[in-house]
Amino acid sequence: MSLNKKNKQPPDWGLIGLTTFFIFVGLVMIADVSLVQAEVTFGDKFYFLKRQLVWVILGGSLALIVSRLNYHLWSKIAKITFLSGLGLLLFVFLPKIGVTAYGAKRWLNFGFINFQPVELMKLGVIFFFAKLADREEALPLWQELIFLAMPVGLILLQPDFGSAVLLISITAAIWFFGGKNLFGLSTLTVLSIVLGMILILSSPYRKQRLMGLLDPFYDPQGKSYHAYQLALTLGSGGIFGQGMGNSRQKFQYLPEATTDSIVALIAEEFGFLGITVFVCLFFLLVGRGISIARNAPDKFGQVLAGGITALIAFQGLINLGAVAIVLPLTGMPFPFVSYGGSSLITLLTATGILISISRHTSSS
Amino acid sequence: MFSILNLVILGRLFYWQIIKGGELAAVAKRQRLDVEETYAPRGIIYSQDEYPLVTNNTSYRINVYLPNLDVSSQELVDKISPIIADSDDEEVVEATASAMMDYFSTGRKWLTLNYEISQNKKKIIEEMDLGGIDFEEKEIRDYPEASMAAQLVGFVGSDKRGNPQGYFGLEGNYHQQLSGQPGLLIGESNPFGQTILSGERIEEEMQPGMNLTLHLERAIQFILEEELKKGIETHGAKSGWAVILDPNTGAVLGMASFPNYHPGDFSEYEDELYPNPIVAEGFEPGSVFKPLIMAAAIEEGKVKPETKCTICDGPAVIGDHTVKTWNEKYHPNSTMKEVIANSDNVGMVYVSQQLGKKNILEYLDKFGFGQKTEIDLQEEAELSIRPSNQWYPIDLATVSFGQGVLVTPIQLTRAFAALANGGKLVTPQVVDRIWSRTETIHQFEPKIAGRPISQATAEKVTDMLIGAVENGPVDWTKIDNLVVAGKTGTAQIPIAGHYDDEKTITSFIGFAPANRPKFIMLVSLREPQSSPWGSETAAPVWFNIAEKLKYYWEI
Repeated sequence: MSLNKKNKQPPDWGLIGLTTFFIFVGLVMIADVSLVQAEVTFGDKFYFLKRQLVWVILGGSLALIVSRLNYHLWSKIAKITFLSGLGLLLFVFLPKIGVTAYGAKRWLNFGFINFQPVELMKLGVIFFFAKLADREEALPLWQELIFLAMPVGLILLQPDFGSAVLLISITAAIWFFGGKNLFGLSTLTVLSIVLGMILILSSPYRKQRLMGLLDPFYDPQGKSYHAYQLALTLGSGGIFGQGMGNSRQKFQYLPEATTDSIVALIAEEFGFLGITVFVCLFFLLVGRGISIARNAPDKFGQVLAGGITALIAFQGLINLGAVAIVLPLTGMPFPFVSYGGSSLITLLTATGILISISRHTSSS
Repeated sequence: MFSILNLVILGRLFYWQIIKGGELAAVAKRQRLDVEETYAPRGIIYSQDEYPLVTNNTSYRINVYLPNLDVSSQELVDKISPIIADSDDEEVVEATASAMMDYFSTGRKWLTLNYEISQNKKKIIEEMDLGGIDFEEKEIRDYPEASMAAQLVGFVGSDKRGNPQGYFGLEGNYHQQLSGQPGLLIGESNPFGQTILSGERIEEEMQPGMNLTLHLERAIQFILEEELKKGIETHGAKSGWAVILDPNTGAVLGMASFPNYHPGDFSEYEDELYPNPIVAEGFEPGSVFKPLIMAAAIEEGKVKPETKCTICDGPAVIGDHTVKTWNEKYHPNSTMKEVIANSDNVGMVYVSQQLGKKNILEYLDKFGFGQKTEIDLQEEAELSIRPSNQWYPIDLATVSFGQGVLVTPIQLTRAFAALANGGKLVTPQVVDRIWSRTETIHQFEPKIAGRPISQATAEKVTDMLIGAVENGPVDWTKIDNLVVAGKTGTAQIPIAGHYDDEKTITSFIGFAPANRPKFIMLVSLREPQSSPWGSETAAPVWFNIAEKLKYYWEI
């Protein structure tokens, strides 16, 4: 598929602008929230801010480079990416390299870098299933499901329920953009629900998580502590919020303040009005992604853009859902805002790809 | 579909932030609220001569944390039981030790030994350096004069929440002033108890409790208590009380009753001992009431001191009842002055007949009966007078000699004081002033509650009372160079609707020097065994006290 130079468009500035906005919000909130903890733990107030900045620059540079590349590149390396992702996911179970944190094996340690292989897997899944969707003849459904089961299975072993759901959602979105039939989509849905039920009811850990969700007051000092503190954080925000910098929950009351729960602190400082604005802007961001997908010149572009948009959208939703205590907490960072290098670099790269697709919007 | 999910999320956020927002914000605030209270020391109660009657001290309890103990539990008990037992007696120490060992058999690692020990004992135990020993502090009341004026002072217990609460007497009445205000420091802290510096901060300075200075002087109170106790013992009485007022100002110079209790150990005494009978218990006063009725009659112009009693030749018959004199001797045509000197019941019936129901009831009210005196002690009782339609002729007769009416000793004393001070009804006051470290908060001034009689009447009755002392049955208790105006009283005790044949409450009430009185005093003994008569029981006690007072005050 050759690209007509005449079809080159300017990149989607809306997407760029909104992404930048969220990165900025993230930096501000991280600075706001982590000051005390950073000082206490590392003797440097700006410890977390500095690291996030480094990742922003790294990720941003990658995004810049990637946005100028032809997106068909990703189809070519789809298989490799997918396999590497699987491989790294296996690595977490190795004693030396795999890192256990909070009872889950999600991290790999390469000397001075900690890296979450699930992030690479997200890209791998997107590339791979986008490529599959682009085939003349679709693979039989069961084959695709097996391919999906591989990373999902490994992820569930960690355990990381949230990312498993995310991958399934992304695949569903790719199938949707790729025009998959209803049968395929429903099968996926049903299977996921069944799997979900099995998993929830079989593990006491997950059942408790669910209890914590249903009622933050179930065990406020114990099992539903995080949900309880979230509720308090949100409540403290009220309509207008406490004002920037005035969060009280950030003083070690709300766990994961810089990562999973950071959006709750936005709600505390800027109130319901603030968080509504935030959510609307996120909505717009996702809208840009969908628009880029719709206007992509070819099928691969559509599904690739659709998959990436789904990644951003669902990751955000899962995080927001947990913050609003609609979904269980799953350790999923909010795109661009939460502290964390793996997620930030992956998402910025993915955004770069989106931008690259946007430059080739079909004129029809 | 994405939008639906978004809306769901927004909806839920709305719920948490707006609907439940206020409630949750409050919980979040409570979570980080750190409240520190600074204890306010309770006010000290001083006598007029500036000695502390009630002060504060620190008492300690021993906490033991077994893992840190350097010695065995048995050794610990052996070492500290002699100190706790406060005795050299081997048996006492043994008993204490074995009781203490019980604490160590509970299997608990951290124990509180329930012994209140003083600072000295605490120091001794501390110096033993046994490890694993810790002390809990508690502020308690201290009584340098032991049980002196116990019922006047009251005691400090705990309220429902475990905070100190004064009960009875001064501790009860002035609880708020004595308590002061604890200091408050409210701040915000993180889950580890560290202060959030940018957080809210409210500070309220601690106000120590205010001090009280009483009109009471230790020496006078001591004399009063000593003589009263002796008198109760000598005459085999069940109980007794005595109160001294300054008749011009109402200042309470002394107040004692027995049996009493030690306020520091109040829980070890029966509840019945707590209320001060002088303000809380009513009794039928008997003959000491006569001068008041006489004063009323004179004030109303119904009789004069020279008026002759026309019915005094024999007992008085009123309806089904017969009123006799105390010794069944009758004095026909005796004057009012003689009626008082003879304590003639029939003569008083004559007076009451001259007065009439309306006046009698009016003067009962004027003299402050049926109302509180408003003395500043917590447990003052209000004894009501029966309404007019419940007074029958026999009641009007008996009230004239102090039966069939219930009064408190303080009501009686201050009514009588009107005879001493020219006709004014003063308000009795225990406290002279309330003060803090820096200033006087309140200086009490004498309060006049009424004017039941004129000066002229007061003088006339005083004259009668001088006569009563000189010529009456108490002539053998006179004191040189002190002119006393007073009256004996022997009252029957009503039991289950009728009067007991033998039991009496004997009293003597009087003031001296009669023309310019320095004090008015009431002494009463309940059920003295030695004799049922006031002249032989209460009066001697009264005069013993009065004699000592004369020397103390150099009257």
